[in-house]
Amino acid sequence: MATVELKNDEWKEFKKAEYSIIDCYGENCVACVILAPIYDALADEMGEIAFGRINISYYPEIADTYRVDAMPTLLYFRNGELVNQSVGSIDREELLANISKMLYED
Amino acid sequence: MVCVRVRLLIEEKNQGKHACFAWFFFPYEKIFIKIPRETSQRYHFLVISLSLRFAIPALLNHLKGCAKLTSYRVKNKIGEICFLCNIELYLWNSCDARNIFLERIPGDRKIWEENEMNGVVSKLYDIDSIVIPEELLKVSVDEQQITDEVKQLALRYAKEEKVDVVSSGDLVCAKADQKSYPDGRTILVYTGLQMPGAEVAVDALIGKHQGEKIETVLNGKNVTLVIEKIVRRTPVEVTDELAAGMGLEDVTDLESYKAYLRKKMAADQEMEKSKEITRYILDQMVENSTFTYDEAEMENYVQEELKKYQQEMSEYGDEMEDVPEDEIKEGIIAQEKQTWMVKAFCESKGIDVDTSSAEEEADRMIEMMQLMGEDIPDRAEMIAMSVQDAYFGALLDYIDKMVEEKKGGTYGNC
Repeated sequence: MATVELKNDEWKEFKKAEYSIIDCYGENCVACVILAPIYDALADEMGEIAFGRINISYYPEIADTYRVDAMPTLLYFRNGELVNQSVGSIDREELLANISKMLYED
Repeated sequence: MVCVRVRLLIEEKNQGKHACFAWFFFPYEKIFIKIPRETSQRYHFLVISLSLRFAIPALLNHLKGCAKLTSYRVKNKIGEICFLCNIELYLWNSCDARNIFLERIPGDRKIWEENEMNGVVSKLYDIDSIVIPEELLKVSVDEQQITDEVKQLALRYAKEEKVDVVSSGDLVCAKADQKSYPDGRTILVYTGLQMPGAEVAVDALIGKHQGEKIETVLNGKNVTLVIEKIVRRTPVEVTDELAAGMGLEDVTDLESYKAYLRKKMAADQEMEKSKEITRYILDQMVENSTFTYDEAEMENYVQEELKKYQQEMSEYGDEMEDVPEDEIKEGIIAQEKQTWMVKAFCESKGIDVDTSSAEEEADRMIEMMQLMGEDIPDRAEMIAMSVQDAYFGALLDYIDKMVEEKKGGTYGNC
């Protein structure tokens, strides 16, 4: 499943999936560019998890809601509830570890 | 100078995490800080640079990719996003630091009274005599990486189908017992991915059928799973059509996709090499130039810097690394020498900084600070910093030209 580009307040519906991750990125963000292919590759490989992406320079509401003040920040949701977040251009291994937390931790 | 104190967490694989502090010279591009880092039983110093969106592109190009980068989103008083900035690492010694986090400490700012250390270069090393080691100039692409990338593409566009028996690589959707997961969530086990916490479950699931019940361990917890669905992903053949359909510039078939990858990898490697070369030349210049300064004044300066460092050490307690004093001193002195060397280099080459541009830059920063509701710094000081940066930029430009000439204008082209 490809990463979904979210606009306006689409993230509010998107996060209601059983498992979803939203990449909060922005303009002029080198780190976001580095993270993108790693994130997109896992989005393609991991069916049943919704991978989304939102430009918080244009749509800052999600950043305000979850106190995102750095980019990229990944928000991990389980049934709409934020269960974890990670900051920066993490590698594939670290991203998998964070997804594992979302899937298996209480 | 108005500063925002930031806390820096450096995390390295298998080496844990340690915290340092740094001063964000708002709204300037740099954090002048000595970050201790242990590598191969010795410490290195890293200089952290913080770039705003209006940072000097030439400088950024040299810093890009050194470490984990994070951009900051900052709002002004009326809630508008005012600027974004990237954290970059400038390596004092070439090393592979990664996973750098920078945490802005809200409201923690102060007026920074920077000490001044006076010194001059009595004999400047001839930059043109520096021989850049061949290994730093060589750029080569590993064909295996190209093959791996193409394989990844096959997986990315894989076809999905439901199957009855679990094989390695399948996705298993299961329901857990109520006691283990009272929220009734669907348990997803990706048997083809190295998912931490799912290793035992993956082994237990292989060969099992849809509807079968198994007892296993997930994330260290005993759990009973009932397999609801098994999904198999079959990699597709990477054809010319698939490659062309990706919408990449100049990619019309598989071969041109490989050429695109080759070019991209070479460019990435070139960027890395470029940073190493710059560091090498700067180190050579500092090591081989002769400096004149008052030893007692330098000792005082170093002690003052040490005092600041130790004060921060005590604030962070156990989170701070215990760095040998000699290593810190060495880093402080080397940093000062580099500043003097840069200026001497520009003088020797007749490079002068356009004062009006420096003033414009300083005024732009002051305006930005006003927008942000910050205290306004001394204009003369802002101009001085702007001038210093311009000198450094000129040296970096010169190094770029040196490398271009050395490579006959073909640097990075494979």
